[in-house]
Amino acid sequence: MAKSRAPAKQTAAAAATAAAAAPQAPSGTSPAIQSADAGRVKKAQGSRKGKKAWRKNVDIQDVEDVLDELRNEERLGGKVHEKPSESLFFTDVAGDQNVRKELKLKPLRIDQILKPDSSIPGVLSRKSLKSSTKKVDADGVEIKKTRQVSKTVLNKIQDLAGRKKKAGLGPGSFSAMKQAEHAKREAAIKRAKGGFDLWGEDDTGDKDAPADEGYLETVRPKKAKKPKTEYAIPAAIPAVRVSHPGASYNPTESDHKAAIKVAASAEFHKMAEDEKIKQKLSYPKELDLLDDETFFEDTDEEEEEDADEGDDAAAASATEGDGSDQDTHKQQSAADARRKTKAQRNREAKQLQRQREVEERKAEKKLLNQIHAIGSIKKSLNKEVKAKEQRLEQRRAAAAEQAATKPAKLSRHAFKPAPMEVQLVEELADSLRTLKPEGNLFEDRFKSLQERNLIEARVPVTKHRKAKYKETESHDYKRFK
Amino acid sequence: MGRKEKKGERGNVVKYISRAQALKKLQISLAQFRRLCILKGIYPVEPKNKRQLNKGSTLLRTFYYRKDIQFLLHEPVLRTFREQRSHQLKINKAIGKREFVVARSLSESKPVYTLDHIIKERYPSFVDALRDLDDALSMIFLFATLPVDDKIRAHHVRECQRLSAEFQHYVMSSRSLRKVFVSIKGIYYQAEIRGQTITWVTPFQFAQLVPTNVDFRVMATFLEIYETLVGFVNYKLYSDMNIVYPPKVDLDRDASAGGLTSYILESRDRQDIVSSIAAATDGVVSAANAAQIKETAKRIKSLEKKLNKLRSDADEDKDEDEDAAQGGDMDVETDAPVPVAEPTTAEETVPTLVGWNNANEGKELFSSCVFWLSREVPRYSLEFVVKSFGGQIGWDATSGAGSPFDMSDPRITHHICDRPVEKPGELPAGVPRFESREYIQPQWIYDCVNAQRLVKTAGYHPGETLPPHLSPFVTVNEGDYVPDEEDAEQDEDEEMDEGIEDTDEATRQAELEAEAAGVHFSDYAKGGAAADVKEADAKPSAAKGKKQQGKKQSASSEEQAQEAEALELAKKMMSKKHKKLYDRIQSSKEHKSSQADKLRAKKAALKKQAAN
Repeated sequence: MAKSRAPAKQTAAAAATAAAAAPQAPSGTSPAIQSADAGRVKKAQGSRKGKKAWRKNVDIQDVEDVLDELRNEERLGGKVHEKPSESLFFTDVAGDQNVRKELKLKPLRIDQILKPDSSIPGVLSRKSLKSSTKKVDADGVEIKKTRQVSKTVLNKIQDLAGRKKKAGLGPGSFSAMKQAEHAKREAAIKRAKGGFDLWGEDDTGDKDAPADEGYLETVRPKKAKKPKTEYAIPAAIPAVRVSHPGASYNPTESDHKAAIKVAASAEFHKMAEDEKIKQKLSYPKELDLLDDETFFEDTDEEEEEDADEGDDAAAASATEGDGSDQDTHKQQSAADARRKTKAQRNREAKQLQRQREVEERKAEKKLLNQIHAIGSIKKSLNKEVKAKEQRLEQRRAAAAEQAATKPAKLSRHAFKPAPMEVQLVEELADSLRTLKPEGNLFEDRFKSLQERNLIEARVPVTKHRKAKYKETESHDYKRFK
Repeated sequence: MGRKEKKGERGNVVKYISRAQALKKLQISLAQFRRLCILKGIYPVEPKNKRQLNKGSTLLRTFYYRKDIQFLLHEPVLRTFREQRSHQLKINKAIGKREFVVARSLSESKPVYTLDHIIKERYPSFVDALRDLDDALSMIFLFATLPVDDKIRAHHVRECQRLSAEFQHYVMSSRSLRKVFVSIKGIYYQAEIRGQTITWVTPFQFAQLVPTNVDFRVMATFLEIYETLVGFVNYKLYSDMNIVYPPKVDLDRDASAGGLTSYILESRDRQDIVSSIAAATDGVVSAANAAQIKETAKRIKSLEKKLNKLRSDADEDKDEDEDAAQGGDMDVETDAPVPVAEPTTAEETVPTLVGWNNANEGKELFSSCVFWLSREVPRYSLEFVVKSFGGQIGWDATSGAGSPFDMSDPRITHHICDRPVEKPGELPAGVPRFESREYIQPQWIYDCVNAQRLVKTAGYHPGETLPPHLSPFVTVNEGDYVPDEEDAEQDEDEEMDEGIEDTDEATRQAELEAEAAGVHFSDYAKGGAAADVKEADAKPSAAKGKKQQGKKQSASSEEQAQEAEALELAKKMMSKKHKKLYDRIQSSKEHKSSQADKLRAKKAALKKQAAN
């Protein structure tokens, strides 16, 4: 199959044939001219009236174009249509590789989609594994790197194999020094984990003495003293709390019952607490028993009563306010009518005087009595003070007991004891082999630390996603051609 | 008028500091602060007036003593924490730059801290450390059995296994185990070391699930300080017994589940022991010449004789005044040296006469027993308990390597198995019968230890319903009913009677055994003679004791009368309220004792029935 290699030439040839055909068909029905016409914008047709108009409005542009082209061809080396075909075309025997490729491997649609938009390559984030330069020996053969491990590792391996020593790099070499340093470090760590007699050696702070020699006594740095702070570690809670005798793997019946009783009472207590809370939060059923009338009537009456009272009070105050002037007049007049005589006044004064004297005497007597009874008063006072002290003592003792037996509240969360380990009768093992352990010692140790106030009670924090995931449908596949 | 006091200069505000404030002051992260506090033994506190400190907020916060936090500022570990952080930043940077070689070498030179100074600070004397050992041991024994995962590191588990085995070896060789209690939760042990009772709990093997609600970082930090503590305590205990620490580990045996047997305890070289004893007795440091070594060796021999004498004396004294002997304090009549609670000088840390005396005095409960463990029996516990009381023990190859003898050994006296039997009275399937052996269930060993004598094996044979395993940690009050107390007395009587008949047979068999073990007959005879002498000594001492009791009674009757009078007077002086309370207490006591009497009577009746 022959095909033109240069499409430009092909069009030129087509134009030439069109030009050759032009004289025969001047009306311009040849396909070449048609195609040329198709590219142009059609002009509006001019007038066709009279010869003058005919000459003026005849469009000979395409003929002139062709002639121009022919002239151009002549200038460039002969008219094309006169040339033999051999000089214009050749048979392509090799064929186009791209064509074959195009025919065979039509790119997949997905590849088209994934093809990068930009023709500029992206920036590489990591160093390219292959270096851009090559090491070449004298013969021009590339020297390939055979080392796969780091230099330090290689050194270690060589040390192990004893190669460095042979090469004179053993003791004193960098890697040897490093190894020695490492070994020293390890030895120091091991020593500090039970490698010497900690309580046997007689060190009274002499370790730092040589460093301190340069200082005067007054400014010599002193070792920090441990403060004498006391912690409220519950004294009654031992570090290792031994299980109840009923928690033996093979307990006596009475012990076992006692253990179950203890465990059950704790559980009942918990249930009662829950119930209490539930009851507080629930709707009281007693409210249903009340019928609506009694429920509402009372309040109405009360309100009415309140209103009545309010009215009365208002009315009373009003009347008072109105008649205040009149009243004062009346009282004044009444007082005038009952005006005391001087004798009367004197009598009253005497009466008053006598009364006062009697009272004074009484008070004096009382005081005397009290002075006599000072012992008993003191006794009663002492009793009161004693009782107060006793109450205080009791309160203190109770607080001390609380501190000795109950963990303190050291954080927002209260300590929650682990449930007591106990097995029911049917769970008890008949021999050591069939024993099923109960409880978890890991948890037990952790709870013990909390119980003894060594660490604060906490609740494990799990990270939650704040925003919920939102589900959407992707429409990306629609956007590709 | 004095200076005007400003706000925040006195009182609670100065005494306490909140955790957030402490973090700000120390310039470390919360996690590091938590670790530092645990390591240093600084704990949160509950202030009396929280509202005052909270500035109106009702949320409870965690508070510390300000002085404690101030003290933390001087801590070298704090500095290391900061260095570690900056070091980690360097490593992260190198990784970010993909310079892995640099990162690697950096990570190898990470700053580390040591905790020995903290241990010394928290436990100024060795006894302080022993007092706080309960928690540490429980933690170490727990971690020794845990499975390794991303939270529990392998090196921690390995370290804990080593430390726990070392401590067990000490307890075994010093014979300091006192009580064992097998509960459904784990096995509780109690040992007495230097007058301190140490209780710890060990889990059953393969039973520990790691819970989710436990903070591993906290536990790991506690473990860190406890590992160091137990390491130093072990060192001290070993070196005081003149044993090399750390003991060598037989790696092959360890790999094949040798357990305790893979540790090889070696005494320090002979010369060391001799010189130390000489120093302890005479206060003379012996030079290392041959003549003096000979002399000291002689002295040791004479010491042994003295010790024997002392022992017999001590037995007599015991009956005389038990109360005085309880504290282990010195007896005036004898020349027995005073037991020392806390050795502070080098002289006291070497094994003194007291140490020897205690070690030999006693807990050789299983010394005449040779045990064989079937494979279904927990070797990790029984081996420890038996060896702690001087017993010999062998086990099936499937439960680990290192058994000193095999199942068909004629020396074995007790075969411990725990398999179901088809018919009562028969041995379980797969257990061969040897006539010279007792076949028992493992509980027998624990019960013997708690009863401090070899209890009768009846009821412990395979297939039999076991008697209940009682907790030895229960304190028995006066007059309470103890199921086995009469049995114990009777047992002792029977042993006395049977002893005479049995001794001939027993000695013959023991001789044979000894020969099998490769002991010369002459050597054996010496040892046996010594043992006989001991028994002979024991009997007259008991008789003496009775006489002295009689004297005591006459003296005590007067005292009793006086006491009763005093009691009556005190009762009269009581207020009504107190009197009622007192009466109630008394009546409850009476009720209890009557109950106990009833139970005893019932038991006696049952026994009579059984006898008829």
